Amino acid sequence: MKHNRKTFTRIFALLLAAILTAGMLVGCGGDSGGGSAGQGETGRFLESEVELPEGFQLQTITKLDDGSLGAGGILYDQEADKVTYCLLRSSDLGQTWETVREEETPDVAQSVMAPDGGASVISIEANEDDGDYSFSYTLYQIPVEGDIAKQKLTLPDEQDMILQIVRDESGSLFLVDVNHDLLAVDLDTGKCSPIGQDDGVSTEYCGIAGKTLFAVNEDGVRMIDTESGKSEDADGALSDVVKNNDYAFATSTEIGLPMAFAAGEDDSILFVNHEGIFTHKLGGSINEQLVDGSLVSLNDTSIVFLDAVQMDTDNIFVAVLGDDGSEQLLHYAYDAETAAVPEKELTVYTLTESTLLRQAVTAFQKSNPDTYVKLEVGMTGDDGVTAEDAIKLLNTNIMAGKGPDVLILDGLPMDSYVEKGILEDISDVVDAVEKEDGLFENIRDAYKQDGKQYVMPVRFFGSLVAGNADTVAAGGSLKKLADRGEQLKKQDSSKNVFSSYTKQTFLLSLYEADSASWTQGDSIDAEKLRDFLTQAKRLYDLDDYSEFDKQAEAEGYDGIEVDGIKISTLNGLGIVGGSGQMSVGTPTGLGDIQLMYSVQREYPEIEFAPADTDSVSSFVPYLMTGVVSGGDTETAKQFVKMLLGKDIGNQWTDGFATNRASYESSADAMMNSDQMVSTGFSDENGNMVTIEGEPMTQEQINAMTRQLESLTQPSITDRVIRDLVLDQGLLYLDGTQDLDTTVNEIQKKINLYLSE
Amino acid sequence: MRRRKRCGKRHSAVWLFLLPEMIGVLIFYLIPFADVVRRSFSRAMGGFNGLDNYRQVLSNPAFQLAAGNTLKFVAVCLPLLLSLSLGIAIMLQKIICGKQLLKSMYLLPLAIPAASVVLLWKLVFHPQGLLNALLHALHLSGTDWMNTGTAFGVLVFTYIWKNLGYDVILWTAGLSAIPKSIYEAADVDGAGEWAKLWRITLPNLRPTAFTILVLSVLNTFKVFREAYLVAGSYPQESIYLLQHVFNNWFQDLSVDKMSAGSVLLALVVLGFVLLLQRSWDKED
Repeated sequence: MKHNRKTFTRIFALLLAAILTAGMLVGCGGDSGGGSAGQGETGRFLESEVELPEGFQLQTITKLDDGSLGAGGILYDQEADKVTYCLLRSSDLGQTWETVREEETPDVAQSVMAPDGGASVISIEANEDDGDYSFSYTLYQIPVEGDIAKQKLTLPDEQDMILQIVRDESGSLFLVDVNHDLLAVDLDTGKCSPIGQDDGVSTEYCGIAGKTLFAVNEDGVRMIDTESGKSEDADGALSDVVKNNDYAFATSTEIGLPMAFAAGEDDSILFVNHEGIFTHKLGGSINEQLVDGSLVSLNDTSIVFLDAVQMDTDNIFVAVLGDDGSEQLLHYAYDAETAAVPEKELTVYTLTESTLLRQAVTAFQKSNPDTYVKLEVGMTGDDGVTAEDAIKLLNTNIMAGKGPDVLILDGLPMDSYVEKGILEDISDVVDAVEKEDGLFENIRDAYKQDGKQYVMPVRFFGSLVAGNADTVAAGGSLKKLADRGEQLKKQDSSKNVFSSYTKQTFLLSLYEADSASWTQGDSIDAEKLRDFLTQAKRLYDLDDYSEFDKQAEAEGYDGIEVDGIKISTLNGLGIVGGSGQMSVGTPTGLGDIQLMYSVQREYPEIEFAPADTDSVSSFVPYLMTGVVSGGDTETAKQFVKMLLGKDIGNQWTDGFATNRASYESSADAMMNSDQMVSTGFSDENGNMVTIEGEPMTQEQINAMTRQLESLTQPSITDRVIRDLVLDQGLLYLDGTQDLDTTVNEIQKKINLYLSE
Repeated sequence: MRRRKRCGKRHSAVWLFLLPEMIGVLIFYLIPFADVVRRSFSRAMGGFNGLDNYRQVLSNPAFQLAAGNTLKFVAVCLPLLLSLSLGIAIMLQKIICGKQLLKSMYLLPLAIPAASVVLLWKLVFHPQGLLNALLHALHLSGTDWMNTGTAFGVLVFTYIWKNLGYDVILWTAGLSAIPKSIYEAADVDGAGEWAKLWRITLPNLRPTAFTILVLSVLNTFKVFREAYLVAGSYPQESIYLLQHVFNNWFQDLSVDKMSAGSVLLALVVLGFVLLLQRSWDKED
């Protein structure tokens, strides 16, 4: 008995020890990597772009009754100067197209194809009555052959607008309007009546498969039977797709959709969003991912979806509209031989989300299908992670040898990384880009260190000062600008002097213009910092920012952001509109410059020039790129080369490209484009003012180019220094603390930071 | 032989229970610390650097400031905390009614999460906060508590407020372990309260005092959480502590300096504990 008890105690002790050990070690280990295919598995959908006839603007696609692919859209024949609605057919999965029918149809707004090859087309006509605008819509039923049926549509509301049209398998048409109503069209009378909304649920956009309408709203997806009009909530898996998708409602559905639906194989539905292409069996609990969006163009959040169709289990087509307004037809074909996951992986790290980077990632993957580019974002904004937390995690990964291959150094301790030898010398890459396309040498030179180049900005912004000639002449120093500001205030105390949005953007605009001149060896010149704060205060006290700030707070406005970074844009229009008489800031790109010249054409007294404070012309670098040593540097350098290259640069309008060829291409577009940006605003008297955009002239481009070439020093982009100056500076501006305290606090903290 | 064998068998079950924890300490503390020591002699991204890291750390003005502040903080807080907590523990011993309630009240600050404490700080110590409002109501002038030298006082107050209850409990446990018969014998001999305190209470509390002292020193480093959440990476100079330096070095990837600094700190704390133990043992 005693012996048994001892044995039992020993076994029990061993068991408990084992449980304790197992409990401690659970959770240790590498990535679980759930959901992704393992190495060695083959078979995935490969993306290719289908070439469409020249001048064809795709609107709708469908699978035709004979199994071929149908496409409908507007065809611009530049030679004949003719615009028609065109029906196309391809029996070889988009390799060649034949025109089925072309019809002159006025002002096509929306259209949807039928499986027999015909289409239902809605044209729009704008009517003006005493300054009030309304729209009238006409439905054209265009068959493959025969007469076109025309029917005027009657919407529930005279001011209504149609955003989307869909067609069920029986030929019934349904619309989504700007009031978020889902309407059924009576084809005989043209009357449009609400459907499936007895419970008052609205519809942002919809999809259709067979006789089921999928009406999407913020609560999820409603399924509506098109015959009976009965609606019910879709199953959880489908609704969760909408609820969990950050981009589900991020775009206006007038031009495209954040998600497209189509009939799938075997009574399932297909849906496409930025995360990929999925299939879902109605009533089921899972969505099967057919195409991973991160491996193809779908991940580009600047695109919107026009339509989708599944031809068979191995072929899917998706029609999309790009950020530049051009349509694309993407073909996803299953290849059983290709590796399920690309063999190579390249990790790109950025502290904040960037649409431009995502586009670059998509472009790189397209041209390198054997490489999966993983974009890691340190601060997504959804999880309360601060910049410091994100940097610590990044550093931990770098120390563990699991760091990224490419670093976007905006907001990161760039100087420290260079000093520690984290970054590779990318002189060879930058030299190659310079040889092929040319670079802004002044921008490049600002980042050269002992003949080596570890960092290169892909884009940059330049600080400008705008106002009348005397004001612009004072842009050479902050003190002169403040003197000028006081002079303007004396002339007319009722007018605002500085055109800015809030006190935060006011201070940021001056910081970006002036901070480049503060650098004194490894530290900051205290006198220049003091002077900056003094002059900023002088300018700040000229105007009352309390109303701006109250309004900003009420609107939840947190400053101007361009592609995720806060900048202070030049408020040239504000000067015209009377919100100020001078402005300092960074134009968002050549489009802003074109607008400024257009303003100058209407108001010749307004000028603008670089803010040359203390004879240092500064720029704000953007997308500062570096390659991390020790990783896949070869592929990383290829990625950096692409980032700095002309092709990707031509797609972006934010900031100015450091790539000369890309800059000149953008400049050419500003000189030659027929579609210039125009804008309207209310002036100080409440009158509507319209500034018509005009192409820039060669002289204007040359002047702008010279100004950009004169920028030599980057503004202090060190996140710690910038935040210290701005946080303390704001306390001084609103009178919470005096100048000496502010300067001392900033100086002490910066010295502490630099001494570390 | 038989006895040794029986002892060994009895202890084997004990070792089996201790083994998982020891493995955990080895994997999560000892081995990583050994890596830190290794890194303290290497450059940030590898390569032997000799004693250069230590030279850099010791000559670094930020480290010197932080070390000075940390030492000053420990020197001010420890005597205050120990004496206050002992006094309260002795008083609690004498109370009959409400002892448990009072103990719980003292322990409450320890249970409050750091983020909540930070919120409280901001409400109380902000230039337009409750404390300045109270002072203005009493016709006294307020100050910016967190951005002037008074920040040090606020930090000391926070440390004592947070850890007082914990030390009170430990002292109370120590006091409970002193046999009452000694006090009764002292009463018979006519000893007064002060005599009993100096001759009986304090000597008998020495083992407890050693534990409390060591734990209190270690707890001084935890006050960084509140300081960091309120004032960020670069607070007012007087509350710029060693952990701020380490935190900032980590962000800069100055792992070499961080490791050297950590080793120096560990050596200082170890030295302090060993010295204390030695002096305790000598007095014994």
